[in-house]
Amino acid sequence: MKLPVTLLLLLAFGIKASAGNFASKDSNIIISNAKDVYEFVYDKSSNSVQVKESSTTIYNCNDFRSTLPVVEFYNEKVTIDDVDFSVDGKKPKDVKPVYSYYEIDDYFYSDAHICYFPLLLDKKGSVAQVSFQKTIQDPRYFTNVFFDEIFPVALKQIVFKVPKWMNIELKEMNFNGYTISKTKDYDSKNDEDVYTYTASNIESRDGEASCPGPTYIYPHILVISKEANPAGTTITYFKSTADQYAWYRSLLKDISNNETIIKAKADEITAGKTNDIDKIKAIFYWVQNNVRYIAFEDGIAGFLPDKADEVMRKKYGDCKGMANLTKELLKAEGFDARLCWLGTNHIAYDYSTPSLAVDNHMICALMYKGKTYFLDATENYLALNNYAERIQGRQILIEDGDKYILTHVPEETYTQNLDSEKRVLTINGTDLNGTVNQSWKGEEKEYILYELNTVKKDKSQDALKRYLANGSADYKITDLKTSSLDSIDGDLTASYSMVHSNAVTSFGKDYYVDLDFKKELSSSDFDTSKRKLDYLFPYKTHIERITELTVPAGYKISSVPPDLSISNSNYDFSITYKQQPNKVVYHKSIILKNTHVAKANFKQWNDDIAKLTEAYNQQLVLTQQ
Amino acid sequence: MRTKFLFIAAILCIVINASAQKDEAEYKQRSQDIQSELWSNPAKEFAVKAIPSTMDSESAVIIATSFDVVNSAKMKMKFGALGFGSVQRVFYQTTFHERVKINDKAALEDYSTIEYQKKLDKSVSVALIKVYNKTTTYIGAKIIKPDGKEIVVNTDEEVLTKDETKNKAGKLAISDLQVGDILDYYIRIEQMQELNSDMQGPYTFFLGGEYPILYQSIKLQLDEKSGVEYITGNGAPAMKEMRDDDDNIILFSEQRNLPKIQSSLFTSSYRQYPYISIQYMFITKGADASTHFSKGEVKHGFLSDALLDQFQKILQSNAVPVNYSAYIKTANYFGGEKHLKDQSQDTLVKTLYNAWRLTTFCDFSTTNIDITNDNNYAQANSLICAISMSRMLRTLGIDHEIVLLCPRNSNKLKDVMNLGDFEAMIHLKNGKDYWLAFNDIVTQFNEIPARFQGEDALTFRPDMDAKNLEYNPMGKQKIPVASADKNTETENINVAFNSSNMQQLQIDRSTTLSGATRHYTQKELLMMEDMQADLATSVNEKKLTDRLADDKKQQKLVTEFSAAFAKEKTNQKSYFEDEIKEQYDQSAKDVSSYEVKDAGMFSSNFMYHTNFTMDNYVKKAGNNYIIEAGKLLGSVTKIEEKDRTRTLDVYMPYARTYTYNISLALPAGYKVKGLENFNKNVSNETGSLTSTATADAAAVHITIKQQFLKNFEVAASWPKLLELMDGLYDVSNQKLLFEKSN
Repeated sequence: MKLPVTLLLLLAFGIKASAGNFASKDSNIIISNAKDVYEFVYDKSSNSVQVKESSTTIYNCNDFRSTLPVVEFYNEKVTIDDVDFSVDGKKPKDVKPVYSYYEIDDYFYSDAHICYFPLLLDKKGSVAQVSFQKTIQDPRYFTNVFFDEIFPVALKQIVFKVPKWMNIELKEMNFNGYTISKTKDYDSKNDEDVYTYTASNIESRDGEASCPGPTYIYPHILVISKEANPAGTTITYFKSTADQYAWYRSLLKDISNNETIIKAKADEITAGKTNDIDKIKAIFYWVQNNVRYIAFEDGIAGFLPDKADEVMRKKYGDCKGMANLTKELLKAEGFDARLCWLGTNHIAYDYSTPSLAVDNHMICALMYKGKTYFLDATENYLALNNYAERIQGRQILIEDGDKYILTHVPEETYTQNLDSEKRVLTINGTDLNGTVNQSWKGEEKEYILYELNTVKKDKSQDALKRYLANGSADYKITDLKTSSLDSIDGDLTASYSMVHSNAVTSFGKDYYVDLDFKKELSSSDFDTSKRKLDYLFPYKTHIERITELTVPAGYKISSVPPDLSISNSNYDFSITYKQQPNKVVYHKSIILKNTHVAKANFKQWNDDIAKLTEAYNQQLVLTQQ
Repeated sequence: MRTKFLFIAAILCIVINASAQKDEAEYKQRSQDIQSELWSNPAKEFAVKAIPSTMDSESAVIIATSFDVVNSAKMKMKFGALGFGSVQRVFYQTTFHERVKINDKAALEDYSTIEYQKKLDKSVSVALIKVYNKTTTYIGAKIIKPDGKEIVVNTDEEVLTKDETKNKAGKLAISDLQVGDILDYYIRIEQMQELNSDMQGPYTFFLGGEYPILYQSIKLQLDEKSGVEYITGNGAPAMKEMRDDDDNIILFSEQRNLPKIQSSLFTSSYRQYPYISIQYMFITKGADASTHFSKGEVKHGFLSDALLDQFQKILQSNAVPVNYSAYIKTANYFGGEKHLKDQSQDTLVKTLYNAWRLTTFCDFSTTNIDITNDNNYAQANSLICAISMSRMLRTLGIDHEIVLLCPRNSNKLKDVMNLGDFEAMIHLKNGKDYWLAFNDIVTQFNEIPARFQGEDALTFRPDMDAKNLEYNPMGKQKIPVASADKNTETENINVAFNSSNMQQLQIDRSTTLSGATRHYTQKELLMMEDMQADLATSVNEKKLTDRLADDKKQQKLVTEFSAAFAKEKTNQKSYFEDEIKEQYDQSAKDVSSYEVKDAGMFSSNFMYHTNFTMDNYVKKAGNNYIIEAGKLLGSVTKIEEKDRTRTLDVYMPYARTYTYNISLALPAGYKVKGLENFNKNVSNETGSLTSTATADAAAVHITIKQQFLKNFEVAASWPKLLELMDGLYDVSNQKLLFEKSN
C-alpha cells in the first residue's frame, strides 16, 4: 500500500493525539477547546502554494493529575515550524519536544516522523495549551481534516482561509449525528473566504477490531485543492480526475525500466508455455512467489513505483514496485498490461473526488481478449481471476496513455471462497472413524497457504493437522495428503483418515453423536453494550460441510435434530439431517454474502447466531434395536 | 558585518560538509577493509556451500556462526586541563558472523532484514578536553545462489531510521534473497572508550538454537590487562585458553553439529540446556577496587569468591542507601520507638514486613496519579530490599540471616556471574523459622516464592554485637519447599439450568486459592485501592484518602485519588470476565455478580465468588439433555504427542492440589445417567487423582481432586505425571445424560 495516504491520515488525525489508550467517554483528560486554522499562502521564491497550519488545543484535567503525552506527526512534505505549550499559563521548564522517526506497523520504512513530549497536568483542573505551526508544502498533500481526537472534544473549530486566487472544494463527510455548524465569511483585507466549522461534543476515537476505515465513520472534511492563480499563472492541482491522473503519470515518466533485463526474465519465466493464459499465470505467480512485499515509502517515492528491473533484482518491493514489475514482464511478452491506482475498502472515497486520499494501492491490469484482469501480486496466494475482498468492487484508475480508464474491480460472490469438507464416518465405540476430503478456494485457500508458509517447514505438517482438527487434541489425523502447499493456481485440497475420540457418548442402549466438531460462528454474537462500530469480516465466506454417518448394525436412528434455515440478503445459515438407508447425512452451509455487519443489524445477527448455536448444541440419537 | 557573518557561516558550512564527507569516506573504507578481512580468506566452515540432504526438511540450517571479540588498549597523548598527558583508550571489536541456508519462506522472512545502530557517539567535550566514547557498526551480506554464484548485497541500500550527527540507526532489506539461497552476513561493532572501561557482556551462547547448527565458534582475544569470567552451564565444554606472543588472552570454543532446541513443557532453560556465558572488562588504573574481575585472569566455571566479597562489602558499607520508612511505621504502630523493645519478636517482624509491603507497593506518586491495575504487578528488587530489611532488623536488635539464591527458572547458584543474578530473602530462626521474601504485593509474611523453593542459598549473618556493620558468610542452606496441601485451588461450583433456556447453564462459583496458586489471580482481580487500605490497616494507618484528608497540605489530593480509584473500579468486572475466560477457555455469556470474599492479603486463602451463564455445555438429544459436566472444572490441556516422551527433568511450577466440588441441579422430570464415567482413581509417587460422582433427588455431586506432590521430578517420572494429567483430561471429557422420565 502506498504510504502517503496513510501518513496523510496520520497527519490529519494525529494532531495533538496521545499514544495512550486511556481516552474514553469518561476520560480524565478532555479537550475543552481546539482550533485548527489552515491558510493557503503563496511562496514567491518557489512559485508554489503552501498550506500553513496553526493549531491550538486546550486540554483539561477533569478528575486527577496525570501526564498528557502530546504527539504530532510530520514527514518530508509536512514540516513542524514551531511548537509551543504551557500548563496553567506557565511553560514547563524541563519539557523538550523530541523529534524522531516513527515506525508504522507493517512498514519496512517510511518518512513518517513524530514530535512528542509529555505534559504533566499536575492537579485536577489543570489546563494545558499546546500549539503547533506546520507547513504542508504542496496543497495536494492536504487531503482531509478530522474533528475527533483521542480525547473527547467539547468544542473544536476548523478554519480554512482560502484566498480568492485559490480554488478548493470542501466536502463534509460523516456529519450526520454530530453537531457541526458552518459559517462562511469574507475577509476583505486579505481578499479571502473564511470557512469556519464548529463541532461540539465529539466522542474520542476508541479503536475497535475489524471495523470500517476511519473515513467511513468519523466526521471530517475532505479537502480538494483544485487550482491556484496567485501570481497571474494558474497552478493546477486536482481539478478533476484527469488532473490527478496526469500528476501520477508525470511521476511515471521518471521511471526508466531496463527492458532488456525484463525481457530476458519474462522469456525465462514463460519458457515452454505456448498458451497465453499459461504465460500470464506464469508471470503473475512468479512475482507473487519471488518478490517479498515490503512497504518502503519515502516522500514522493510514496507515489513513484520502483523500476521493474530493480524490483526484480532486489526480490522485494511495495505494491507499486510489484505492480510495475508485473506490468513490464507481461508487456515484454507482448501483452497489454497497465498500471492502476485504487483505494482499498479501507477508504470511503472514490475518484469522483480527485484527491490523494482516494487511493492507497497500486496493481496491474491486463487487457486480454476484451476482458480486463486485475493482477495484485501483493496477494501471495490468490490465483489469476480471483480478487481479494479489499479490492473487490472498488473503483480503479487504469493508465491509458494520456487518458485514463475508470472502471471497477469485479465484485465476487461468496462462491469464490468455498471451503468444502466431506466426511464419511463410522462409529467405533465412543470414537468416530472415517475419511475426509476437503478443498479450499479463493481467499480461504490464500489464508491457509499464507499461514502455513509462515510456519517452519518441519512444523507445517503438524500445523496443518492442528488446523484441520480445529485445534482438538482428540481429533487424530493420519495419511494426510494435500495438493502443493506452494501452488497459487487451482484449489487447495486435502484428504486424510481420522479418528475423533469421545465424539460419541454412549448411555445404555443409546449413542449420542455430535456430527459437527467445528461449529463455525458458534456464540459469535456481538456484545451490544460494548461494541460501538460496525463489524467487517475479512472476506465473504462459503462453508459447506457434509458428514455421512453409517448407522451401526443393530441400531436405528431414534432422534434427529431439527433442521435450521436462516436466509437474508447478508447471510444464509442452513443445517439439514437426511436419513438414508443405514446412514444419516448432515449438511451444513454457512454463507456470508456481505462482509459488513452494520450495528443496526446486530440484534438480527445475534438472534440468528443464537439459533445457529442452539442447532449446534443438538445431537443425533441412535438406539440399539 | 552581515557579510562577514555570512562568510563565516559559509566557511563553517563547507567545513561541516567536508567533515561529514570525510567521515563517510572513512566509513566506506573501513567497511571495505572489514569485508575483505571476513570474506577474502574465510575459515573452511564459512566456505561450505552444500548441506547434507537429510537437512532439507529443516526450515534453515546454520552452516557456521561465530562470535569474535578483539579488545586492546593504547595510550594516547592528549592536551588536557593540565597540559599534555597520556590517556588510555580501550578498543572493542565484536564481530558476529553467520552463514545460513534458507530452506523456506519462514526462514526467508526471519533473515530478510538487518537492523543496527550504525553510529553512536557518546563522547563528552568540556572546554578543550574531549573524552571519546564512540561506537560504529559495519554490516555486510552476500548471497550464494544454488548454482554457486555469489552476490554481494549493496549495503548502500540501507535506510536510516535515525540520522543525527552522533546517532545513526540503520535498516537493510536483503536484496535478491530467495528460498534455496545461502546468506552469509556479519555485523561488526567497533567501540573506542577513553578514561573508562565498561564491563562487556555477559554474552550468552546456548549450544543449539532455533535451527540446527553445523559449526559454532566463540573466540576472544583480549588485552593482557583484561579480566575475564565465563561459565559453561549444563555440560557445555570449557573454552580453550592460551596466550599469544603479545601475552593477549585467547579464549576459544567451537562446536559442531548442534541439533536445534525444541521447546518442551516444564523446563528451565538455564538449568537444562548447555550454554556458555562470558563477560570481560579491561582493568584500568582507576577501576573499581571492589570489582570481581582480576587483571590478566580468566575465571571459569564457578561463583567467584571475589563476587561474594563484593557483596559483603556492600552489606557492610554505610554508603548504601537504606529506606527506613517501614521501621518508622512500625515504631508508630507500637506508639513510638521506645515501645519496640516491649514487643515480641514475632509481632515486631510481622508488622515490619507488612509496613515494608505498604511502603514498597503503595507509595503512589502525588504528582502523576496512576493507580491502574498495572501497578498490581510490580516486583520488588529483592537484593536491595533485603539489605534495607536487614538494617532495620539490626536496629531492632533482631538476629537474622540474609540468604542469596537463584530462582529455579534462572541459572544455577554455582553459575552466578554478577550480583544482579542473585535474589535475596531474610531468614529468622529464633525459636521458629521465619522467611521474609521481597517479591510482590500479595506475598505474605513467612511466605517463600515458589521459584525460590528447594534452592541452595548462601547465607550472611550480621554480627549483632559489632559496633560497625559486620556480616559474616555462614555457608549454604537449602530453602524449604511447600507441600501440595499449601498450594491449593478449590472450586465449589453450583450449577443449574437457565430457567429460560435449558441449553444454558447458570454457574455459581466460589473459588479459594492458597499459597503459590493465589498470586496471579489476586493481582488480576484485586483493586489497588483495597490492597493499600488493607495494608495500611495492618499497621494501624488510615487508608490513603483518609490519610491525605488529615493533612491540610494534601487535602486537595483526596478527590483526585478518589476519582482515580473510582475510575479503575469500573474495570473490575472486565477483570473477572477475563478470569472466567482464562479458566474455561470460553467467555461467559453474562456475568451477573462478582465479589472478592477474602482478599488474602494476610490470610492463607484468597476467596472470590462469581455467578455467570455459560453456553455450549448442554446438548439437546431428543427429549434428553447431555451435559458436558467435565468441562465445568475448566479448560484442561491434553499433553501433545511430541511432549509425551522426554529426557529432560521436569520443573513443575510448585507442588499443588486442585479440588473441584461440583453440584449440578437435576431438573424435575429428569433422571441422570453416566455417573460411573466420573469414577477415577490414580495414585503414584508423583501424586494422585480421584474423581467420584453421586446423585440424590435434587442434584448430581461430582468431586475431583488432583494433587502433584513435588515441584521437581526426574525425567523418568514423566509417565507417572502423564497418568495424572491424562486422567484429569479424561474426566474433563466426561458427560452426563439427563434423561426425561417417562
